[in-house]
Amino acid sequence: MSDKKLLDLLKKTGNPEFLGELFSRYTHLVFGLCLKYLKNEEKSKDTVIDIYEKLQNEIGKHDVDNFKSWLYVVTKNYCLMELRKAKKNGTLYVGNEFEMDHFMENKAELHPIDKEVSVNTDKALLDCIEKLKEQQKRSIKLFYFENKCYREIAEIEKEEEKKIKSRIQNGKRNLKICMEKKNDQ
Amino acid sequence: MTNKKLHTNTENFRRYLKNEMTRKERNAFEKEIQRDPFAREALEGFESVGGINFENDLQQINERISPKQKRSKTTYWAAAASILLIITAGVIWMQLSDQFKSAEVAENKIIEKNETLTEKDEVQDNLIEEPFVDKTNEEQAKIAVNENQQNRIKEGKGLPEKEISDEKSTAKSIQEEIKPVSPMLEETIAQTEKKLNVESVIEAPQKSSPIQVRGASRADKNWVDGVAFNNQQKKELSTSDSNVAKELRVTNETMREETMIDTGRQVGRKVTTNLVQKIKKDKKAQPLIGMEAYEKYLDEEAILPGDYNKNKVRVKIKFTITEAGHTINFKNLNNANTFVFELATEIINEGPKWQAEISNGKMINSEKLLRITFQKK
Repeated sequence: MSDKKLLDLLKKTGNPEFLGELFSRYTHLVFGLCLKYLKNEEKSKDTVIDIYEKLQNEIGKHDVDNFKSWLYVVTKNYCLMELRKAKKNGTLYVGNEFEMDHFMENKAELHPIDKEVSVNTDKALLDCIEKLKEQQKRSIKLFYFENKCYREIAEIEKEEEKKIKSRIQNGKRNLKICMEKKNDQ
Repeated sequence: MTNKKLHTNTENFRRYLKNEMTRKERNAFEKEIQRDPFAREALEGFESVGGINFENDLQQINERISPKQKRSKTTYWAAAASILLIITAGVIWMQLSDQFKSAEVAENKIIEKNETLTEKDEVQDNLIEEPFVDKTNEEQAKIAVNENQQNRIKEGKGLPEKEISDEKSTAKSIQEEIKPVSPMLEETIAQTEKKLNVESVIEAPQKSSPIQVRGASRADKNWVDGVAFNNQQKKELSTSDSNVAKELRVTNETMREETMIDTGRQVGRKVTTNLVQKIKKDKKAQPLIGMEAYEKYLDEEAILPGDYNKNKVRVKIKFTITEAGHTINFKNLNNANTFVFELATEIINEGPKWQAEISNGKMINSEKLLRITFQKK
């Protein structure tokens, strides 16, 4: 059953089992995200439970269209609030949950290179790839065109896997900037 | 560019983290991760915190949040079974401890008996020498009643017959005392005896030849002409006359100084990754390309996307530079927007490598604070 169907059933019936089923599909993502921000296994496990309980109270208050996106925002904000409590600093929000669920659903555009674009048709993308720094260009090509995994690219480039990941991320960011400029022209 | 998609579900996450995927599968999974910021950040979380038991942790979480009755019932049964098990274990433990106590009481009685008998010389020698050596009752009886001692008693104008018979009866009573000793007590006694023997060895002064070092071990600063002093134990270690070889070891995370020792001569080498470096004087951590060039790199890379809602954002970022020159533990000191902070992290991670701080001739971890200004171009 799709997420959308489960969400509809949950809205209609209010049966917590549907929420449980939805949540169980993404528990590993919620847990991983908590680990990223809280850096503590036990604390992260507890936070996952807290987030689930929060969902039970909040799901009825929001008009959620995309459960996964909404869950991402809720989890991230919850973790950042936990960090704020620990540090007693200013709040750092990803965004208002109401805004973000619609934003994520409607505006979440894939990066041009992440779309299934034909190599032959997207000339602008190819041009921008050629304008990248040499190392970024090589990594992007190996990953997207030659379907090499981070590990293989790390072996070829004689770099650490972590560095290759960063290089691809930065390369994508530079590609996006380049594509935006081309669109503006 | 088209490739088979690999969903970022639990099973694929597990396989990716446990290196169970083929390289093609890894590429497909990584591409999905690139498309999915939720999955990407989650994967970063799993990779940043070591020692996670993925399956166990998720199972625990799922069990805690499951609303289904079936699982609740199972939980109740499991709880009941656990309580029963604990009670059973407790009862068994109490019984065992009772047995130990009774064994101790029996032992104390025997010891007391021995003490009273030591007043009588003839019997005393036998008892002190080998109190519980033999396990069989017959042998114990022999200890208690020694023929030579009996003769001495008879000749030695010592004890009257009455006393001899008393001693015999005493010996017999000892035998009787010893008789009902359980195998468990015998084991306890044997262990106690072993302890006594061990302690006496430990207490003996270490005047024998120094302990020979075999195999590879790490040398510290106190190597002098082939003789090493271990600061913690204050014992003298020495190389044997035969071959003592030590290996150079370099770990992924840290560099260690190792001393290469050949037969008859000592060679010191300092190793960092694949390079041989001389120890330098104290120096703060800095980029290998120099700080000026690094700042230029940052200026070039710190660009905000065109659709970002601000023209300029400053990030105050603190991170650790390890002994190996890796950059880890990034902290957002001025609470900059998460998106920009993560950009800054990526730029530093991808950027030129750092030279670790040198202190007292050793490379150490250190922290660095950078202010990066992101702008639109």
